[in-house]
Parts: sequence; structure tokens; C-alpha cells
Amino acid sequence: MKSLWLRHPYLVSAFGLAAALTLFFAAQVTIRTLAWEGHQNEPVQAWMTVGYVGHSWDLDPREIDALAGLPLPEGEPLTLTAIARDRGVPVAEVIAAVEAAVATLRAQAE
Amino acid sequence: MTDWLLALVPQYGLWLLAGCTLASCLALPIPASILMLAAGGFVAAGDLALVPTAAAALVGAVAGDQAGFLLGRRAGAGLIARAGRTAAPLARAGDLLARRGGSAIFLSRWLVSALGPYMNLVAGAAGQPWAQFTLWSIAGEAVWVGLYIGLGFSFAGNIAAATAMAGNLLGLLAAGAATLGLGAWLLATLRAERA
Repeated sequence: MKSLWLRHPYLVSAFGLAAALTLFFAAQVTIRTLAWEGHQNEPVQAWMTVGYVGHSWDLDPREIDALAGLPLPEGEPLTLTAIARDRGVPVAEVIAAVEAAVATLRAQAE
Repeated sequence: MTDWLLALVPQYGLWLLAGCTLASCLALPIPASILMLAAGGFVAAGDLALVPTAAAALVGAVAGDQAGFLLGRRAGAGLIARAGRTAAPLARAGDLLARRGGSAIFLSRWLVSALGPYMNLVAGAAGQPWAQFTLWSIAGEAVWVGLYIGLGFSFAGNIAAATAMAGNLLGLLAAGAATLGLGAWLLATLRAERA
């Protein structure tokens, strides 16, 4: 084994490095897959729809709508940005209302 | 800019996706991968339908590849005619690409997607057969679109996690392929020494 290393130092180290990287990425993929719980509570952002927020937080989007005082969807889904624009309010206000609704519903669920 | 683009996905979903994958296949700096992850998330949330979403991303990407290929063929032919002394190596490169270029086209769609746009130009300039290029381009883009929309769908509700997973998966595939290749080389070397 030692002589192999002495005869082909570059080839053996390249192989070792590639094998180590493979193990590293395999571990990452495995850990992240196992740690995944089906929903991941992503912080509410302007580009999301209420449906997306509901999916991320494992909540019924229509309950979020009702609690946050948002219009029930008609036709195409609206992002929080679009809802804020339609109502003429800053998007931060809509995000805050959705965050409050999510917090309330999560507290109820637990 | 990414957030601004993401907000347009549920509204203009299909056209936006097709436009962005097309642009990114022409080397324009558009975060098409993140958009596809988000689109996958919107599909999981029920805001977009799966088949039209994936089809739009695929059509955009393949159209972008075609544009790059045709551009390479138009501009590249002129370059080769004026190449003079370098014409022979260019022709050899074209020959190599024609014989073995399929896998290069395929892998540069998704595994090393940063190379994709340039590979389109080179393939066009090198005179790779159009049908062969198109087949491998469609196959590769299908993997790219499927990978990112699929990850966005499975990891819906956390783009950061989906992005990290995409990076790790691609890293795993690249490192695994390198390990296999180097291992085969090492074995061949050992056998040659013993013989």
C-alpha cells in the first residue's frame, strides 16, 4: 500500500480526495433528508402566496386568510406583494398580519 | 432582484419560467435554478400546476439551447473559414465533439450547467449534427428541470434547504463520478505494472 502511494503520489491523493468529497456529500444528503420533516417553517416573505406559507408551516391557507383578514382567493393566486398593492398598504403590514395569524394557528395546533 | 422575480412566479408563472430558463441558457445572469425551486414549491402549495410548469421551463431551456447552437453555427462557420493555421485543431475539436460530444452536451445541461451556454456555441460552430445536439440537449434539460422543480416540490416551504440539497446532490454526483474514474485509472495502472 505504501509503495503504491510512493509510486503514484498524485493519482492516489486525487483518488483519496475525490473519495473523501463523495463521503462528505453523501453524509450531507443523508443528514438533510433525515432532518427534513415535510414542512420547514420558512420565514414569511413578500414573494410568497398564502398557499405557500400554509404549506411551509403545515397550516390551512384559508384559515390564515381568515385570521389575517385577507381576501379569500378568486382566480389566480396572489403573492403578499400583490395583496398589499391591491389594498394600497405597505407589504410589511400584510407580512406582519400573516406572521401573527401563523403564530396564533401554530399555538392552537400545539 | 431574486425576490422581485420570485414574486412574479405565481402570477406570470409559465411565461416567466420559460423566459428565464431561455435567458439562462444564453449565459444571461438569471437565477433560473432558484426560480424553478420556487416554482416547485408553488406546485406543492397548489398555486401552479405541475405539468405546464415543468413543460414551460423545459421548452424555454431547449429554445435557449437552440438559439445558442444556431448562433454558433452562423458565427462559428465564419470564424473557422478565417482561422487559417488553427483550422485543423478546430476541425479536430469538432470531430471529437461529433463523435463523443453527446455526453458533454448532456452533462453541461445540469451537472456543470455554468458551461452549458458556451457548449451550445461551440457545438454549433464545430458543426455537430443538429439532431444529435437537440436530442442530448432535451435529455439534459429534462434532468435539469426535473431535478430543480422536483427538489422545490419535495422541499417546498424552504428554498434555502432545497438550494442546499441541490448543491449537495450535484456535489455528490460529481465527486462520485471523479472517484469512479480515478479508481478505474488506478486499477488500470496497477494491472499494467503487474503485467
